[in-house]
Amino acid sequence: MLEGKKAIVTGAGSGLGQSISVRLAAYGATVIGTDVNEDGQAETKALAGGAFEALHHDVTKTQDWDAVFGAAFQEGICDILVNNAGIADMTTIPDMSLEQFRKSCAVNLLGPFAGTKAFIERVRAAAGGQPAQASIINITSVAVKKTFPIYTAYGPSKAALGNLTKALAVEMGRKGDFIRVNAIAPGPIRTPMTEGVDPTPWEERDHRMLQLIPLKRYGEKNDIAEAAAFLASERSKFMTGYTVPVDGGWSDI
Amino acid sequence: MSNPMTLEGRIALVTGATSGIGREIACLFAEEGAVVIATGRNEDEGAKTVERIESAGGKGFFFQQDITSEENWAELFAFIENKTGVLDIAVHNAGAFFSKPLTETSVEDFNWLWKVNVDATFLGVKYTLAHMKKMKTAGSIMVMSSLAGLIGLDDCTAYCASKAAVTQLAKVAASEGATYDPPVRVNSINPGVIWTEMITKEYGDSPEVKAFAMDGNALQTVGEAIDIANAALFLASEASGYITGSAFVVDGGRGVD
Repeated sequence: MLEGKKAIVTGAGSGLGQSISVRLAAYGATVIGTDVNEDGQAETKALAGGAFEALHHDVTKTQDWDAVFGAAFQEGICDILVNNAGIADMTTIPDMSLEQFRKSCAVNLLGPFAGTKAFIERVRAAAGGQPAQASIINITSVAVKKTFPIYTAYGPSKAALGNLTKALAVEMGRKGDFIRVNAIAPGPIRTPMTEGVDPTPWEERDHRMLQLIPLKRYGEKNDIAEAAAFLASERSKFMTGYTVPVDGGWSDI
Repeated sequence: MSNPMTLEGRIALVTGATSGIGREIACLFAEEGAVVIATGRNEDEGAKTVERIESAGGKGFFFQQDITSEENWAELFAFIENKTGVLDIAVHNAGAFFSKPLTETSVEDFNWLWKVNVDATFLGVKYTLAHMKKMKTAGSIMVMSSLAGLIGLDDCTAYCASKAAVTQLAKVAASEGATYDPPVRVNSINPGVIWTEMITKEYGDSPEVKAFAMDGNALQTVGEAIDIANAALFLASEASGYITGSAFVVDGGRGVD
């Protein structure tokens, strides 16, 4: 489905980014996976095989993005950008400092903004005056539509990324290019990020969130990876500005 | 690694498979390995769909159906149970369309469209859910709604109202299907302007109409039946196992709000 395509996946060293990288590679893409977590990157490399290249990358640093694009566009075009890297700071508002709030926005919103802006410039330059083609996929969250008492910083930062997805979809289309921008809004999925938000061991948590979900279960990392592969591929060539809800029905019912 | 997008070994029902989007879905599903029961009113066009499926090496049956007849739905499920066994996938795609200003729309016009688009979809989803519950199938049901079920479209009061009803029907059916063991997923597909006979019959096949179809969406390209078929394939397959109750918009960015 993705033979001959080249993709950048941020946050590729664990959780959703790792699964996305492995699936995109399995569908035939060459994947440049970026992360600050080098041990995780080695694990992803072992799972994804030869089509995976790991780069050290902090999405809040412009010079890191430059290095990623330097590698991705070295031999022509890069077709897919998955803005997956994100953090979940579940501090409630009385204890949350402005610095903490800014940190969530820096990673979840400003990083993807900076990366997407530079990616679009590179894609257009590589197209050399021809209509540019690319698929950009932002990993947002069910928190865009549904809120929870601990979503003070996480929710707004993801909601803004969801809105950026729509704004860019409209703007990109109107420039005569064929750059599609979509999002995936995952519901609760067990990953190092979701495990890390609570010191209570996973098995001992109350899992009350599941009561809100019609399918009454957590999602699998691969559910997100398959949606990403679909949005990255030509199968979704008439889709832009849409957010695929992968949340067991939580946001729609 | 296995391919979750495959429909190998699945049985799929596609209504309104005698033209346009429905035919494309039926053919793509068969190509991806499903045995397809294609339904519609027109026997000749149904035969053409089955012919296209078979010439590509797939397997399909045609069942002549009046989707507004409850008796006919019962007959269809008896046919399915005899012919193929357990249904895994259903796309309730058949529907109708007309454009008229509200003040010129009679209650007969309105009720006719409601009967075809809403009553028939209700019957289809009802019979499919009951079958999947009885057979204990982890099924996937789709209903064909429209972008016009989410936002207004000029001079299409009856159509917009009917498609909004269909979108909501899918969400509540999804809630019910989620309680089954195993769960059944239900989603609506909400296409923007797709270049099919439904459009050209009503508005004509002129460059102006085509320009309308293209310019109104962000991608400034024409939506094709295959684009909807690909979305249906994704929603039918295991690749979308955690997606239910969604209004899956495929509109080239026309409705981005």
